[in-house]
Amino acid sequence: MKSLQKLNPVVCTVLAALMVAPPPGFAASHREAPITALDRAADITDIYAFVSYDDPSKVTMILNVDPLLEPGNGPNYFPFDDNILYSIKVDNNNTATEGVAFNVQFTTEIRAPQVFTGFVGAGNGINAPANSPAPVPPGTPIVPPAITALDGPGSAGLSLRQHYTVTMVKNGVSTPLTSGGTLFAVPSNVGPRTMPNYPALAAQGIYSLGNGVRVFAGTVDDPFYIDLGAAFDSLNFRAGAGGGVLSPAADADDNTNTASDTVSGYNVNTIAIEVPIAMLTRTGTKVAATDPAATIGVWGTTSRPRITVRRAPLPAASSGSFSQIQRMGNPLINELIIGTGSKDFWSMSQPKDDAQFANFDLDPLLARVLNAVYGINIPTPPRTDLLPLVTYAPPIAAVGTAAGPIADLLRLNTGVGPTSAGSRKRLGLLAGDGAGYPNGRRVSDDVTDISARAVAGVLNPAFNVAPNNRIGDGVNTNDVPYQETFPYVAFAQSGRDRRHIDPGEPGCTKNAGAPCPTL
Amino acid sequence: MPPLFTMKNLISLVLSYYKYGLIPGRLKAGCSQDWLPHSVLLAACLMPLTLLASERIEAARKGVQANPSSSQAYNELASALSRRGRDSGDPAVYRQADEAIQKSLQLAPDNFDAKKLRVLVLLGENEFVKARELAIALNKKIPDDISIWAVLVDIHAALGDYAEAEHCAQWVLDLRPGGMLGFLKSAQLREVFGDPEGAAEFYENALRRTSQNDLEERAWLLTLEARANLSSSNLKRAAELLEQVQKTYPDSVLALEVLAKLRAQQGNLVEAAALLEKRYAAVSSAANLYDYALALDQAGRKEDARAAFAQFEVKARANTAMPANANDRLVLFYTDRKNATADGLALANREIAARHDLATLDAFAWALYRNGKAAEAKTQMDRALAVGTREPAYFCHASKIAEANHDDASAKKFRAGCEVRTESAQGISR
Repeated sequence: MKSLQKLNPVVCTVLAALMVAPPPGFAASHREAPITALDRAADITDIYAFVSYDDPSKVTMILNVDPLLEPGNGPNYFPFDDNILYSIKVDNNNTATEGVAFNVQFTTEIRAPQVFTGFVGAGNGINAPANSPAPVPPGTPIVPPAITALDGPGSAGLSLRQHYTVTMVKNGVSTPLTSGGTLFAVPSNVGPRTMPNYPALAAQGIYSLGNGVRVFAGTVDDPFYIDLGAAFDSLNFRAGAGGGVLSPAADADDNTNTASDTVSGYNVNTIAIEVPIAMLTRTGTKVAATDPAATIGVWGTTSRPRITVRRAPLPAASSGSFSQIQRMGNPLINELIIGTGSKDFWSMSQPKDDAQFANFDLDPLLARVLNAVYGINIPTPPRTDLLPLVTYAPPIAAVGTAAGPIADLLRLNTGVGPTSAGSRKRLGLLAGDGAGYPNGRRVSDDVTDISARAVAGVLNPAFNVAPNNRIGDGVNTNDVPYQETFPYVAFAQSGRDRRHIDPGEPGCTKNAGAPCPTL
Repeated sequence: MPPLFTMKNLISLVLSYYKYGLIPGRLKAGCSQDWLPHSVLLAACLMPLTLLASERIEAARKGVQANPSSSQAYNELASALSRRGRDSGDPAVYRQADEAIQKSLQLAPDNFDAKKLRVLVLLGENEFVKARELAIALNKKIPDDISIWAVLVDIHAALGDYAEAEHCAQWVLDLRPGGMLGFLKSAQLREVFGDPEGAAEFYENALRRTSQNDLEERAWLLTLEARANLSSSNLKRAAELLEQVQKTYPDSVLALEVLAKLRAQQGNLVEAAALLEKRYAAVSSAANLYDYALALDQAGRKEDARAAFAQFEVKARANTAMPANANDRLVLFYTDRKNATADGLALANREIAARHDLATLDAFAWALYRNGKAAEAKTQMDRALAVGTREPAYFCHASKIAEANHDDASAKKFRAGCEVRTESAQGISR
């Protein structure tokens, strides 16, 4: 199998670093559009798609929603919204329309309506003591046993429980994938008394649905990392992190943070699905990276039931029973590129119609800000160097792949195998790691730095020079380790014991080592 | 040390500003009056004040006097006036609003709010094409501004482009699910589409999302809900709603019109005429005069009606080339009252070239019928009825046109629609 690096040695080898200068700043997509700022359950934070690390015949797609969940925020924690249709969509014929879609819908049950919190439990359960006032006699169960299971014995304390269905829509045909069983969403990690073995509990939420498909839904550690506070303080990056341009040493170290991760200690709700590549490509098979059919486009959407102008039985001019609230492909488009006055319009539009936003895509304001404020040289618009992010083009897609319309999709060449853990680079494709963003997106990819550099022009060899190619926020790794197997994200952080690593606090990297710089 | 502003002295300070007319009535929308000290604004935002339209306009005028270099002050004035214009349809009010907007644009040429207000004024002045042009330009600039989508609903509907109007209304519903504007605009379209029950439901939803303190907006919504109930023959509910309007917002001109319709449907034609007389006294437009004349006629005051119709003709003919005209009524006057059917058709032809909303289509179809062009009349009337309207006046015309085309079955069906509430005469129903 050829690596992506070999498909286009130019782009993959012109990545270097030198110089000094200024910064940009981004976040994945937490609360980026006004409508989703008001509707956080429908707010897509990130979407990931990558060839499974431990099985190159499959692709894992992860849709994260509902940002910055404080793990201790009881009593109801963070249920998915029963009224939202969560979808992961795949374009496999270069038209930016869905060839395959996976739709997920949740149902909530309240199993102990008299209990004041969604999750409760301790040890083997606690009964009313001898001095229990009437009318509750001593020995009456008061607190159920600790939660050790999603269903059956050990699940009594799961008062607020959600189950969900997964439906695949292919060529207009809907196929339920739930295979008759009940899929339970994994609850947030309340703490060690209530959930004494949380990893074991969460692992029960990994379901095999047959045909090689696996799913997981629930609250997990937010895999995204960024110095969000500095980014949105008008790009006020910390001097300790080079003020937005990393030193060569800091840039080369994927395992050390020189700035605090604002998302550290926060959870997010995730829907992960692992699917055989053969179910996704238009050929129905896994093909080589050099084959135009190898590259798919992935995006996520959230939708709510639509109120229509006309009532039934009057004919509705507006088709579809759901209204799209948000969509996401690349991690940067709506966040960094689309103007505030158009963000909702963008969110509710379809990727195939993204040509209407071409002015934003091909002459991004952020690039001009970098140019104006810091004097960085940037390519002259139209920024065709950014086309690989919004069309099917090398170095992601094979030579000869139909470009398709300008569309915000996360493009993944499924023929490119996974990179082993030891060789994985946070800068993905920019660092010669062909299995990383913008060829798909893995949970560990530093999309903040990659996107900033792309906007600064590094996809054009002439601009792949310092400081453009060393722009970064100083957060190079997540606060907790990811998993190497499905669902790849770390399980949820404990509500009782979570830690947000703030500026000036010790343990800037994975809760260890030197303090995070304040300035 | 005691706090500089206790709640008590803050409130008294606000009241003193109110007393001197420096705080407009509807502060919840933005609370952005930049001529007021911040602390006062804060308190005012926390404690919205309720004013009648005239008081609100007066307060905005004082705001302009106090801060003549503030474009926002002129915007507030234009906003207050255009709201009043929305209720009354008074061209003079729109002219004043436009003057305020021009002043605002002189002070701040790029201010978006003034341009949005300009669209409202153009719409109120029946300058639909200009309004559409400006609204589309603003929509392109900020696609996420739902108020522009909402006004596009009105503009497209006024031009008779109902599919476009529905598309825009659906965007408003989708962009802000459960929002007031989405319910309001969709309710208005549901009325047009012949679903007054669904419209009433949506007006109710819009009302629930409107501040209790915003009397003017609530009165507007209650009146529209009453109108929808009237269309679905729920006279009791319509009466209850209009009673609420009368109690809380007796200034409403639209409420007089809807109340007149209610009285007509209740068979009280004398009071209907009296209400329309009051409405005409408030806003002396040709359209209002026609409706009043028609009501007089229906109430049996034939001489008074004749005089009113004569006065109407003079007034309407003077404005016939203006965007804000009463040409649809003038067409009906020519065809039904003056035996000048050719003049009526000529005027209807001119109108249909500019817009094809329900009333214009109906007037055109009726003029064709009166000129012996029954087949063409049927074509135009079919266009109107295809929209879904259940307006009895149109069905009355449709039944006659069907008879002329020897389509007895349709004539019978349309007659049934016409006879539901024949009291709601053509003029009043517009």
